[in-house]
Amino acid sequence: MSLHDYVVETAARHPERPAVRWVGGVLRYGELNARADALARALAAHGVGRGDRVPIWSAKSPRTVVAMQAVLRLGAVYVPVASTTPAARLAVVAADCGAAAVCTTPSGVERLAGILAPGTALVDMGQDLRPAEPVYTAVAPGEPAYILYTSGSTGRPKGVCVGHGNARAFVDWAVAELAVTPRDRLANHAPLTFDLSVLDLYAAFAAGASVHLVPPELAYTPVRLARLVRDEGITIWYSVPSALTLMIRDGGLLDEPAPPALRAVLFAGEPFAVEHVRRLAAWTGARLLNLYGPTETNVCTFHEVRPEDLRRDQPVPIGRASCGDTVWAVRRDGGVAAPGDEGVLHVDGPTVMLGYWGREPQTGPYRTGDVVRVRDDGAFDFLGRDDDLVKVRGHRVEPAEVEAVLTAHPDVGEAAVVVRGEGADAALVAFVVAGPGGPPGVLALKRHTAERLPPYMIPEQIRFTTVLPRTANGKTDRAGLKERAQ
Amino acid sequence: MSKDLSQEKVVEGLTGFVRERFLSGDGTGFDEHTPLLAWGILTSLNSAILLNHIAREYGVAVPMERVDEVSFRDVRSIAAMICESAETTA
Repeated sequence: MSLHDYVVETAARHPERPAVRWVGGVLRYGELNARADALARALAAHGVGRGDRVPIWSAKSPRTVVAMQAVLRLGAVYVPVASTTPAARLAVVAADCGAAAVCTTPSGVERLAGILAPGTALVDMGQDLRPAEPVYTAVAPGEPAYILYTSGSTGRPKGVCVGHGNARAFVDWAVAELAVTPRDRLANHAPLTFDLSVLDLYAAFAAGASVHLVPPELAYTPVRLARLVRDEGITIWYSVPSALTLMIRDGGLLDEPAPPALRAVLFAGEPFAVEHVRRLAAWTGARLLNLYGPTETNVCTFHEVRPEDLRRDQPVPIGRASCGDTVWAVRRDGGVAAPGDEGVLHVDGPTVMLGYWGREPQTGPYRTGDVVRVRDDGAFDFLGRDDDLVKVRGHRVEPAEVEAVLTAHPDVGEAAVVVRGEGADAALVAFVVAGPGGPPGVLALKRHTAERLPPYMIPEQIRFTTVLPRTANGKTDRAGLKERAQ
Repeated sequence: MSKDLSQEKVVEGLTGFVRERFLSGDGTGFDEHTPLLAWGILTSLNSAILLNHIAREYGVAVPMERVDEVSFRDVRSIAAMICESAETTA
């Protein structure tokens, strides 16, 4: 079974059912399927075929979902890239994955002309296409379905390559655990470049339910986000805790009674402050589930919030293994952690990625780098990281990648990036030592980073300093900088 | 907002505000056409601060539906939206 079978099969049986909703519109399964066939034909005419990589550079929209389906049914691999990502970074991604084509909007086609490798086709995903014969390519579970690019510790983004079998193991688990039915309306809050969106889209498609695309600009108006849950009859909400915190704190989510349709609230990507979980639990009878897993493993553990979790003074546990995976923690001495012990979480099983694109395939367990404590009941509490990776409102950021971009500016000598605050208030702060030419100015560095990195990796604050503090062994004193950043 | 407050005055006021609050006072090169969202100057974290400033300073409650990447592209587009909203509610 392939990831594209969900839409193909639901469209064959229930073409009239709504598949994708957005404010003011709906795309039904039959239409989604037909448009995906038409675009797939257009892509095939550009030479796209099985195994080829196709970045989709566009805003979240029904057309983007169509493009994802079109690429999949060719047996090709989609690579979602948000339209807010600068063209220069899209070019880096396209080159890294050896893209056969880039699917984008008419303005995207203009902006990319001349900056992609020769032979990379540019396909306008907004073009009017004539109905086409069905396109279908059967693929094996071990073949790649999509690549999600994440921040890389070496200073370059890295592509997490997810197979059809990996994705389906997660989606099928989620559909069963949540008992998704055709009556459900799942909200898609996360960007389509973020692995959270896989549940929203494909659990809906698997069950013949609909997914409501939440516009990214609502992040600036939590009141509208809160209103959307009610107005659109959302039954399953899934987002990073930061979004829920903003909706609670600034959006008035809890000011009115919980909508009766809402039956599950899922969160993942970062710890959720327990006081907000308590308030959510007091507000709604919906199931509250904490899902955990790095992009490389999709969701590998989960925990359903219970009354006793609300009495703790720490975030709810990340729970136990899900999706058929096996998880365990390894102590510093190499032993497997027992209850009470701390260790780094390891994952093995069907959701573990195929590997990073262009590198050796992933074989055996994946070491997450997340430090956990084993609870008495065998579940896990998340404690932190064993490296420099930070989270900004659910987005993971390798400071080294931002620092590499900053130091590429001719007027920057050195730079160190840390995160200030946590949860909804987390922000990147860059400490910059000027080069021989003098300090480049805050605006110049904002522009410089914005032209090379996605928006969530642009430092919120840039502070100039004469020297970066060092630890006794000569490394940048990140703990000291973090303290200064608060 | 007083009816005779011109868009130019709003542009001037907003430019100073953004420079001071969001660029640590170091606004070299910042002007009314500098991209606010695309360059990460305006974020989901600080947009509430700007909306509060607009309400306090100009007496305009920006309609939530207008908080988008077009109206908030730069200071000039925000000023135009403020003046338009003020006229509508006058």
